Amino acid sequence: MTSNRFALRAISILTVAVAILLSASALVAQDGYKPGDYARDFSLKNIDGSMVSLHGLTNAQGAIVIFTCNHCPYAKKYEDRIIALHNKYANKGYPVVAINPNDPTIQPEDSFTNMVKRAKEKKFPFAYIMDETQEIARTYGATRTPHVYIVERSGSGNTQQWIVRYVGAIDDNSDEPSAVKERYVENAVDALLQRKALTVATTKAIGCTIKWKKKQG
Amino acid sequence: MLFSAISMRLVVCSFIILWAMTQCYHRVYGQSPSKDFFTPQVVSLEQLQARITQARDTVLVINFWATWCKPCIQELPAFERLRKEYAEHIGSKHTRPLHIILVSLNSVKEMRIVETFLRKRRYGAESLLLSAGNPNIWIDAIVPTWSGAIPATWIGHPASNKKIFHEGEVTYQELTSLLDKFVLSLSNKP
Repeated sequence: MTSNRFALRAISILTVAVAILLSASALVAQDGYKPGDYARDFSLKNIDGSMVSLHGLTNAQGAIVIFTCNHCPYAKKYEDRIIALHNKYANKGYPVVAINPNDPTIQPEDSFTNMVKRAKEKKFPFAYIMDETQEIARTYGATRTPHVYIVERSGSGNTQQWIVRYVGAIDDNSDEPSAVKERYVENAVDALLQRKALTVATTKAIGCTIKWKKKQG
Repeated sequence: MLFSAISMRLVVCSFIILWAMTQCYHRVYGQSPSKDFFTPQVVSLEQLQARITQARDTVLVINFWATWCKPCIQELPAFERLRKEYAEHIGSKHTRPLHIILVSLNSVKEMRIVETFLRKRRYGAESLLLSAGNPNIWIDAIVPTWSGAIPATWIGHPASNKKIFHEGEVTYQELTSLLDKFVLSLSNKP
């Protein structure tokens, strides 16, 4: 009888623990920027050795910030489309800023040297910077590559801020660029340029998990 | 004469033993070798959802993976180990039937790559290849909290409509502890 009671108590304690764990993981998953949030600026090293930040972008009304990398086959499928996005929108005030958030000790293909190499091969017209501490990816809430955040500049000079307008996928078909029906990023930037409300502000896509540094200690 | 009679018996006996072994194999693994899971079955979102519902009282462990995803490939042996160890513990450690499904998110064009990969490693779990169109629609339909990164693992019990979801890699220990907690939660009716 007492052992039964003990077992029941143990089970209920365990259930509560599981419930807490599950809700905690749900909270973690929902962290990160959503449309309407203010995005923090950064200063990260570009493939040409210069430091790139949002406030340093000249004549930009905003930016298409894309967490991407070298190794991920999904990111590779989108390389040409990312180049096309920059070529289409940089002059209109929305340049692409590509950020590699991966820990190169886990994925050597994503090292800074390999970033430089890949950018040369593909003649990247945009900044390709490394988030060495992974702080920016964590703050933005990026989980996979590619993962897009479109930010819009508000204010100017020292008072400028960056508002997140879109979070998600580039389009709805990674495999067949010719079969794409929904060009999410293009639609979002077009709407921003025309000062219209965005019809789709968040989307989901399959991608490679970001290779987070192993926790020390 | 006597010798040949003995050897005939030996041959017959060994055939019977072989037959019995294959029967055991079928019973333990719940599948016949003719049903080849190395060739993934291409399914739509609706077919995947129907497959889940069809499992009823079985605890389903669904792993979303792709051959191009390195952490996915690294964790697949844990799922194969779970499948084999579960089969050895039927009726003792586990009280509910368990079934593992590997859902590949490779494109249909990469079917041969997936098949070769599974065959080479002899992963015997049921394998599906999801071809469901726009991920922005089907990811939410499967798990609203899923960001879309893989690997990802879904554990559910269709009969009670309970499920848990884990985004990211799992070790064998993490997988079994997720599963144990889930099965424990089933025995506590709210």
